[in-house]
Amino acid sequence: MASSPSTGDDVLDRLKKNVDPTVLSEREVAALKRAAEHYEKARNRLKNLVDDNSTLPATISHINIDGAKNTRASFLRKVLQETFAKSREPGFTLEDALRELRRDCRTFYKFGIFHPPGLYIDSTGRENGKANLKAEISLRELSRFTLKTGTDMEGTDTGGAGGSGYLSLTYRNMFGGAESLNGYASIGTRTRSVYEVNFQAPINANPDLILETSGYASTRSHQHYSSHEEVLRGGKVGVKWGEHETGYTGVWRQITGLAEGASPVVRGDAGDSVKSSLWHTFARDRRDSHLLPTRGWMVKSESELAGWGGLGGDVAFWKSEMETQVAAPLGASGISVSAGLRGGLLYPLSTGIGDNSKPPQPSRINDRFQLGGPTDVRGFRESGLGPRYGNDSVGGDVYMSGGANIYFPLPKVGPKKPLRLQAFVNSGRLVGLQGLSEGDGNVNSSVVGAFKELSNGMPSAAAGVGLVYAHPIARFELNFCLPLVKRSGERGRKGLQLGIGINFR
Amino acid sequence: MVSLPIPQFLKSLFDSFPLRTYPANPLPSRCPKFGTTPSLYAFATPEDAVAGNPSFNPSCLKWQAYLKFYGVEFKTVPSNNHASPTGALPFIISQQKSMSESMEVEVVPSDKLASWIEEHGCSLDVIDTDSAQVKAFLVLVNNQLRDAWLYALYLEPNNSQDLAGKLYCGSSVSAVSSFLLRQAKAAARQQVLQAYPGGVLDPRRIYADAGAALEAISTMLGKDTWFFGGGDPGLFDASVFAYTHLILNLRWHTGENTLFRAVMEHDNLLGHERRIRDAFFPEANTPDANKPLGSES
Repeated sequence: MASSPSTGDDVLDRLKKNVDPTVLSEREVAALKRAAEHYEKARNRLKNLVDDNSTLPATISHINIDGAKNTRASFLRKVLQETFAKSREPGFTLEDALRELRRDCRTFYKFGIFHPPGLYIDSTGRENGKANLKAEISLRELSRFTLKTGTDMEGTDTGGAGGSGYLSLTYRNMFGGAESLNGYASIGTRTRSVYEVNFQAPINANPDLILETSGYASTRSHQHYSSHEEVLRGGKVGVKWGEHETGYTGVWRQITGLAEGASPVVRGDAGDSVKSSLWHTFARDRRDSHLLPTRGWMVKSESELAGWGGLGGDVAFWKSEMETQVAAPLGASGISVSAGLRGGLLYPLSTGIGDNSKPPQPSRINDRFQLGGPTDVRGFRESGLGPRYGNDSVGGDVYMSGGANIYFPLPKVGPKKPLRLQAFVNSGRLVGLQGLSEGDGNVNSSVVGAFKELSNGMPSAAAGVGLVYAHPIARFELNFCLPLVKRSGERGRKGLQLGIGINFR
Repeated sequence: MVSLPIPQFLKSLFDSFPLRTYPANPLPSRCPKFGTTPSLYAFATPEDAVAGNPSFNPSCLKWQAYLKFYGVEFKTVPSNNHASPTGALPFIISQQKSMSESMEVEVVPSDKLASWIEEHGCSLDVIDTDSAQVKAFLVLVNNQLRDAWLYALYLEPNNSQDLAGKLYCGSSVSAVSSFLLRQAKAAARQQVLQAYPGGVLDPRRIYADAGAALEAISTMLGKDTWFFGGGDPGLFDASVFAYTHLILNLRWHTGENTLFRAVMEHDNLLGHERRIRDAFFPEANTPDANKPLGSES
């Protein structure tokens, strides 16, 4: 577009006033309605402006960064590197410049060490027929130290809700490259204690590529469903990128503090075990809300390879879990439905290599899956499904569970409020691999046998109706449940069941 | 919980749920299957447990021997202290009915083992362990001898590394092993310090006390076959055997084998150990075939 210099300057003057709120409110659009409206207006103004002048050739001569006193210049430069490179390319326009600078602001914000950045653009005139832009990104660093304390609610069901208190100290931007060191300590009833030190750093100044290492020690009580406590001491190192995360974990597990009535299964697995594993997780969440989804879908997968080959440790297996959920509204009625399906498999592998190789061993209670509970398979107690010995739920190696919910808005309250009446039916099976003894038995035929067992008869199932409230930090459910089908010994929950949690299936 | 009166028809409707109950899920493979043979959970290597060989832990070996004296059939299950209802091995899990009939098991902790074994075994010609004399000698075994054993095994530097570390703190990961060994050494030290307060342990004194205890025990045995003139070996014989057998059989390091030499001085104790070993643990290692590193001959 041919436009006179004065027009260009005029555009830039107007941009200067408008760009800032755009970037700011992008973060807060969800939180503040007013800001959202403001943002919309600003965006429209800007859009019109940019549409009119979008093809104005431009180059960014320099970017001034203000207020990043604890952040390394080399780190900041790396973030802006791409923008400068692009701005030198022919055909770089004002629109491109805006997009690039906004992306830089988003990048800075994503590091989690700054308040929402401000962006100002000015023109220093024209050069070779291009508008010469000067940008200023004003950053304000978050405080380097944050101390948080609080209490958490944990667990539900009739086993008595637990509680915990925590303390967390964060040292942000440790070496001026958005590294953070976090110390966390928590003491509670079920999660008796957790101590963790965690270090995170972006790789190559990329906020979407994070290196994470941590060391932890925790004691968790599993007394309410299998008469023991588990002490963990371990460390992990991983890389997060987008929806993926992968890494290595080495952890020493100790099953201890057995209850007087602990079953021989738990006694048999008591003591020390070391797991050394590589893992990968993937999550893609396209739901409108994870606490009360009314539309969209979600897929999650977790895979772990422990003890195989030269990995070491004393347990070896491949463990995989998959979970999906879909939700959809029924017309404009405010009524919505959701359905979920998930499953898992623990496949024993041989440990060691060469002469030290040992044949696949059957799984330990530390590694097996547990199934059932108010946030999991409703109408059953926590870990109430699957193989049991006396009072202990000993877990299983293969599981499958699924459920469907229909949500009705409450009369007079309407669909806008996160409050629903729900009706649900859900089911699950959790089975153990059979016929594997110490270093003997065919794993494949055991697994095939377990899959056959999954479809042997109807799955254990329950149905019910209840009330759901999706508070911003957790979802609350109060349901009236009736177990429909179960295996002898599985612990159904007939009548009222309260569920509190973040991850509902 | 508030309980409301429920109308009868609702109650019977309620009771009809679940509509269908299938048989119970079978247990995963690793879960122990119990026959009617009682299981003694003890420190033992998997090979020794299968072969019925002696445990490497004196407390466990004592009860293994006592079970054998009474002719109680049992199998040894390798285990660790975390598994025990009292926090210490050994203990017995016994099941009266087969697994298919009932999952109910009886767990017998170590302090109830004596009466449980006497109840389930044949009748023996043994002396009453409640007598003051027996009690006095048991104190010698359980204190002086035990403290010296703990010192020799955990606090002598080479022994602790090669014996205690391998037997009690084995893990596939050396960092875990050394952490466990450090814990075990601290616990042993704590234990021995109870008898020798003051913060500094003098091995000469500990070994001298153990030597004196062995001397007294040897004198007590005299030329008898079993202690206190019993017709059959009893609990005291089991207690002494548990130490003498292990002291004679462990591969102590040169210079850290004082306890071994102290036992070797008493021919009648060596004979006592051999008699029990031959009669009840025929497969066990013999001291001669397994010379400790420090023995001179």
